[in-house]
Amino acid sequence: MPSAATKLYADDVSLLVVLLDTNPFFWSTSTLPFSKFLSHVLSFLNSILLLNQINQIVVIATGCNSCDYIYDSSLSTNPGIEKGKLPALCSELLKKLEDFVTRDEQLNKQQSQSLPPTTTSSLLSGSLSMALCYIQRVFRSGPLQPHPRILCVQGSSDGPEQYVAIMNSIFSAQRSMVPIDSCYIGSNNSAFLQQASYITGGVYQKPQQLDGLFQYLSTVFATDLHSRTFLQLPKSVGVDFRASCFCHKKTIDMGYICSVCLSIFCKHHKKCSTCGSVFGQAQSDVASASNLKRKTPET
Amino acid sequence: MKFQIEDVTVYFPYDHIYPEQYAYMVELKRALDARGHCLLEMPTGTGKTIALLSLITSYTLSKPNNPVKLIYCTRTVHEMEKTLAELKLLHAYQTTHIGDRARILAVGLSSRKNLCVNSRVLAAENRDSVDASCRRLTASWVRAAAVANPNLPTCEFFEEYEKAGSNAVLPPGVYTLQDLRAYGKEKGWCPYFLARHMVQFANVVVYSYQYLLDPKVAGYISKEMQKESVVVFDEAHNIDNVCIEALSVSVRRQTLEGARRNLNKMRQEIEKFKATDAGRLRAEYNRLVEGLAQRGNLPFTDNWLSNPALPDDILKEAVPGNIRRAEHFLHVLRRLVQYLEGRLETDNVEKEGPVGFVASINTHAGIDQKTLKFCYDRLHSLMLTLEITDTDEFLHIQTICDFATLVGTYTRGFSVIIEPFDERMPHIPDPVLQLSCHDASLAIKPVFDRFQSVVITSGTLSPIDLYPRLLNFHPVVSRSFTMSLTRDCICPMVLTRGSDQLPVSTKFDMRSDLGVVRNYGRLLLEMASVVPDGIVCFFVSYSYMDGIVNSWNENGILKEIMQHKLVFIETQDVVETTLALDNYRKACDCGRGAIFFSVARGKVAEGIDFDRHYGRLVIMFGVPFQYTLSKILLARLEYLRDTFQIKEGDFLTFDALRQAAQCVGRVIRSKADYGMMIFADKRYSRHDKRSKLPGWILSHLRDAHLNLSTDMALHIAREFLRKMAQPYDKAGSSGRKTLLSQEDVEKMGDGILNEMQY
Amino acid sequence: MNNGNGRRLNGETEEDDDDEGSEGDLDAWERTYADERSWESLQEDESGLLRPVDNKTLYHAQYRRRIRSLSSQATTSRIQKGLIRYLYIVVDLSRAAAEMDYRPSRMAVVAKHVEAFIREFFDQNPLSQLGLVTIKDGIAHCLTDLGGSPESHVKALMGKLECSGESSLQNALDLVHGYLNQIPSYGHREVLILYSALSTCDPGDILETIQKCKKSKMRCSVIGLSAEIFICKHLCQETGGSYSVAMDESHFKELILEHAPPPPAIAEFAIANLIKMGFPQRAAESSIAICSCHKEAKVGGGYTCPRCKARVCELPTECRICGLTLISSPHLARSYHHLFPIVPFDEVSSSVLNDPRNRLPRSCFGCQQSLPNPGNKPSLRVACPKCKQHFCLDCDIYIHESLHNCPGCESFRHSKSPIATEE
Repeated sequence: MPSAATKLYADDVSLLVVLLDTNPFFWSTSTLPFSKFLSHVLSFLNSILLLNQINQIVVIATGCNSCDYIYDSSLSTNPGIEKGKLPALCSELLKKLEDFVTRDEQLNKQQSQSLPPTTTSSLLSGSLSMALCYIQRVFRSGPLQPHPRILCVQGSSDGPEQYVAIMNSIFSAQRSMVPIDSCYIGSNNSAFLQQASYITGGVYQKPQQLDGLFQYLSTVFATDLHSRTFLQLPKSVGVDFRASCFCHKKTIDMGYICSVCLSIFCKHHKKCSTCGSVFGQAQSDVASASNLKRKTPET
Repeated sequence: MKFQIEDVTVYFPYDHIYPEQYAYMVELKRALDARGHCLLEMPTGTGKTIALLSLITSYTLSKPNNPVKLIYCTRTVHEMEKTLAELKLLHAYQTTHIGDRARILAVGLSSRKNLCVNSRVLAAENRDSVDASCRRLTASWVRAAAVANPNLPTCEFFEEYEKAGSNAVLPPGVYTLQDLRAYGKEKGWCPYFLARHMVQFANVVVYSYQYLLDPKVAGYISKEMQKESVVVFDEAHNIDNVCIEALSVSVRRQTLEGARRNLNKMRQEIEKFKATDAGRLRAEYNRLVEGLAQRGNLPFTDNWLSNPALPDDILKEAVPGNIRRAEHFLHVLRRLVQYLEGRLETDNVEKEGPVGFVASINTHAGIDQKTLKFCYDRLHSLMLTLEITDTDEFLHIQTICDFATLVGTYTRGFSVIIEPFDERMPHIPDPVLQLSCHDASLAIKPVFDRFQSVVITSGTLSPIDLYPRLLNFHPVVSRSFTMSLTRDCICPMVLTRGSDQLPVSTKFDMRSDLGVVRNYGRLLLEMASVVPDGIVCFFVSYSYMDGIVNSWNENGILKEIMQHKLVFIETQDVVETTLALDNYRKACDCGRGAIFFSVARGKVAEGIDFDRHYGRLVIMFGVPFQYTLSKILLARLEYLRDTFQIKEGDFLTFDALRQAAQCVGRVIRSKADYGMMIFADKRYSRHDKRSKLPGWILSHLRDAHLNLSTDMALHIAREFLRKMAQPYDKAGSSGRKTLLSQEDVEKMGDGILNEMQY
Repeated sequence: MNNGNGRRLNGETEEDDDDEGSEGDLDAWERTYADERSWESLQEDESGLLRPVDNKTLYHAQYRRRIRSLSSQATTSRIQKGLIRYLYIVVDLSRAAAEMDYRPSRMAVVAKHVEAFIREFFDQNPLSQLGLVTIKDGIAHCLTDLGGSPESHVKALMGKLECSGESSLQNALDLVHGYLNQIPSYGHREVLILYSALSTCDPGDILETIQKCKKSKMRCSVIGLSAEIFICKHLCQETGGSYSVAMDESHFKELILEHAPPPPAIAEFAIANLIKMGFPQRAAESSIAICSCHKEAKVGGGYTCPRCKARVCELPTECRICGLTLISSPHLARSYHHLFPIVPFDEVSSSVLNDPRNRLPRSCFGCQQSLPNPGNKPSLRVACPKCKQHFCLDCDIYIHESLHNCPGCESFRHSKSPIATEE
């Protein structure tokens, strides 16, 4: 696995992958309207591109039923950019975003016909995975590479069913030394994103005043990785790494771990409910595997 | 799996078959159809035995009106057991598929020593004494006397067997020697006689070469074998030597002294008989006159001596008049012994043809050729009459009679050579008179003539066109097959010089060269540090091995070698060698690593396998030529040149390389195995020598591996070992398939055959 | 450059001008060509013309074979993985380790890769422990005890290592056996032996020792650096480990890193147990406490053991005061992907690709790299059997080796993400 890019153009060239949350369930209840939000984000993206000629931006949309690539600044061949005309970026991006949202909604309708909507979370694990694949491709691309990082602009709450997938992505990002910054614009803190930023060495921030979103974005999240060493960025406080037990879902300080499947219990049991292993004696294969079902712990 | 070869349905007990096995079976079938002989060379480790057995048994099944009996000859008892084990597997498979139609009777047959279950008899120390003790209990006169006098010991197993009479049969099945012993113990019958009897009715008989080639033995074991039999000689690359040895006799001073003693004893016996039972002697005389001594009217336990010269028609002549009387015969023998003693006292080497020798016997001892010819028969008859059972004591006189009969029967193809001392040790007088046979075809001719198809097969039959000339037969099929491999599991190399670029060889004038000795030593040392587990080294002779090991010891190279691996050595003593081999295997098993020093023409090179980790590398130090100054060899070469137009140099090279290939082939026994072979002599790089190696070695001998020096060989060895240590895909995933399944075989036509031939 | 199964042409050994002075080191001519044996990357195609070997597809094909075999084992036999491992690495420092066929010497190469392995090991197995043992002069020494922090092991490795004497497999196994007998019963016992020598000088019967190890359920694997030795093969077969021989340095690295993910564990080998563990909270930034590992006062970040309230500096660790294992939930989460592996992707067959009726995605779903239409060459794309998205070969490798999520499955809600239900 290639670790962090060792050969750079220059210290402050960055590749920023932005994961935009377009979950209609969230945006319908948010104080900040989606259009205003987009204008903040677009200005922010443009400012990134201005910081350095060879900065690169990729935008991936996180919907509630699908995820997709929206924009890649390296692919733009619009001659308008050379003359510094900003509208070109906006129009392309906005158009694609609109198509995406429409498709997502259609999928939602199909989905709601077969099953009632069970959750209001967006597919963060999907867009994270796609972002990481893209970053790997950049690592393979040649001897000179920019510093990649991921910025997650999220408002929806965490979907507990995505826990394992998100943790996998986080660890993979950590291995490749790609920091995940999180700008959380929802109501309560997102534990997933807090962990993500902490583990990968990124910045987590929940802006207090959403009207000034652009200010937060450009002061905290626009800085490239090299410059961050000289700046005082928001520290991570209150990251709770305690686990919750599988049986009651309450957070525990001390618990019991099954040595076979690593499920967490708060008190001593005779048998593991996840993998079926009987504790204290050697188990057989068949009985355990067929019972294997999984509940996600919440942190 | 089951498939068709033309009109024969072949039942093969495994699910996959190698392409070369298939090709082998096709060729074999052709030879059987043509009712002719064939010569097939297929490398070791390719399942030759099972291919042979399954084709021939399936052939019999397909033609139930002309059942074909299979006589399978092996060189050692161990090989016999292995073959029977394979046959068992095949039989089990065939009976499950076809049912009772496929049931056959297959027996192995060996000497009494391997089959006797009577513990008293077995307690005797060697084969001849076991034979003698058995006869003491089972000879017809002993049994007759035992009826009268119950205190005389007899063999209870034999008695039970006799009592059972025609019920004493083996039910159909495959019987290894162990099985026979177990069956014999269970039923209380003698396994040896039972087996000998069943051999006539069995569908498959497995025994050793001697039972067909050595006239002394073949006469009574194999005389009843049907003509419609297929005879297979397995591992038959040395068959010409076996044939020659079967008809060669050597006579030393001890032999003659022993013969004198025997003659004295016999005279005493005759005196005794004359006193007690003149009638018996007269009966014997009559018997002879009527020529009944020649064939089969004697109980079969008594047929332990038979005429070494095989042709039946000669023996049908009436016995000459002047040896009809026992005493007269003894006089004749005594004169002969005296004459031979006289000849042995010569100071020079003498060589004569048989005709000249017989003429000189006639002049000096007054014995004519016809008398000589019947010596063996006459002795046999006399010993029977005298009711002598301690045959092991009378071996010397038997040798003399053997000699006499051979020299009297054959007029060409033999030489009588008298040497006063061994060339290599001229100051020790050790006179020996040798009747050496030069013509290998003499012993095997009756086999070719009598049986419908003879198959000669081995892994090293190169060059294949030499064998028909040596054995004087015309094969209808003569083919060489290669091994199909997914990876090159053999790495032969020809090493011609040491790291200092000096050439190495065991040529006689270079043997004591210190540089050569040192280079060989360094070669072994380097290889010991790079090759894991077992290494086998073959030297050209015991004396050479002694000399070079001594030099290495003085140089200190041996000590360095021993730091890497333990060293074991083959000696001429069987027990010591067995012990050494055992410990060698133990050392390889436990990871310590070992080197085995052996000799190219020794027992180890002939019979012992060094497969898998027991032999990862075999080094052939030099070219194993025979001792070229031996008189016998020279006589044989001369004969070959005159009769067959085979040049001496060619024959010697052929023989040496055959031996080298045989040594080197010990290392691979299956396709998953791998090993390296180093031919360490500068003469191997010459084309005339190299081209005589078998095809399957030559096909792996790349040009880059010729003419190597020690460090280059080291580099190649390292790479090869690393490559071979990677996991192995048996069936061959890419390109050619090396393991065929049922469908592949059905799809295949004749096209595959052309690929397989070399 | 690992050529895999490519055939080597005749260019390796020059027949003239070799100077035999240095036996062990590469000769001058070898050195020139050792790094880039450019002729090896040539191959003959069907018409006899030379063309460069297509390394990428070869590499990918190899990789896919490996994945296939691993996953088929796991699914058909339902073997679970041993997640709590107690592994001893035995490094052979006998005379043979000083050979220079790996540059600068075998020992240096081994040390370098063992360091990388140690880090990888703790990365993938946060709850496991590792120890180091060396064999020198026929005697086995314990270099470091079983411990859960990579730094101490790495430091010991980086110290001066000397090679001499014989190697003794039996002594090493005896030593390791003694240590591993003391570990808790829920742990999986493993030994990884990095063997340079070609033989072993043992004081007793090594076959007995092997049986002893087999009885104690120790899984012994060997990576050989020189050639295949019977006793090592036997050891691995008996104890259920794996034996491989490295062809060159990069292959060695590959082989050793293969041992980092948890091996398929035979269920009877370890007894299932509930292990009591603590999940400490991170202390406030300004708090001052005496840390129990360094025995000095420290300010700020650290963790408090929930049972005895002692301060520890890093996780995972064992509290020195009360012995409770302290971890955080991400540590457990690191091992979850072993329990829920993703299925290998299938190659998209060329018949599907060439069928004009199929509308194929033009770019890889993961990285947006364009996927060319291959024509007659082997396919350069794979598809997930669950969500049917197409991926390029590099994404395939990345997804299966590092990410352990299929982006396609994660990005579509209706494809029922596979973590919710086990297969």
